[in-house]
Amino acid sequence: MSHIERKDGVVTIKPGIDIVASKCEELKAEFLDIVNSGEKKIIIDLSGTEMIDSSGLGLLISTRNSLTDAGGDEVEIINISSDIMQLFKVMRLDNHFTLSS
Amino acid sequence: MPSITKTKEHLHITLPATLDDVDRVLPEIMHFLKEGPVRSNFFILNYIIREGLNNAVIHGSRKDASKTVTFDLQLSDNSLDICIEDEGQGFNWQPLLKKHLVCPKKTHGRGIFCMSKLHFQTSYNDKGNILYLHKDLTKDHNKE
Repeated sequence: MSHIERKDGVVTIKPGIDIVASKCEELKAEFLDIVNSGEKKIIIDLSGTEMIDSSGLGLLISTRNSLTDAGGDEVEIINISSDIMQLFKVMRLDNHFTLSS
Repeated sequence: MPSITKTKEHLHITLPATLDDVDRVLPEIMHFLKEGPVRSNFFILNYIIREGLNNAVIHGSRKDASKTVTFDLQLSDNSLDICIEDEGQGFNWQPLLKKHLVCPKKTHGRGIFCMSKLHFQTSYNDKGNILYLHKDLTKDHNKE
């Protein structure tokens, strides 16, 4: 279960685990709950996440799509490892999220 | 439970078609690679192999634990060859291998796309239930 913190209108989600296919169903339910609760700004903290696969990338994209469809801001992703940052760049997703290492 | 046999150059694994079993075998595969002559970016190798196994489990086997996925890895000084076979019906893989870009809003379709983007030679048998991955280690684009 992700660590979730709400402060000043921003919700920070920290899964603390690899975001891979075997975990995506559970994580998707958590992320969607937050989007559906009317949050406008979501930060996903990837400290503790060493691996993301294409299902995990799909989950992040789906969260961003749902948030913007609901009138929210972009999803910000923080504490990204250099390997995962490189993956975002190779997949040309680096311009579609606010990313920081 | 997965079954694993190995020599110095070859790793053979059979696993039930579940995502938990993919998580179980990946550390074994990475351990095997790190013990060998490969000096690639192990994150990328982990990512590619995971994608191949995920596809075999999710699309090939519909996550049916009674089905088996077979993984073979052959190492040489110059190359890395991987074969992943599932018991499914196969699929029309040719259009996916020609893809050069996935729409950033799409939540699916990056599994096969990433393999060639990350410099793996990717092919299938005609039916589409056996994935072949080849990497020339003398032209490694992903060295750390």
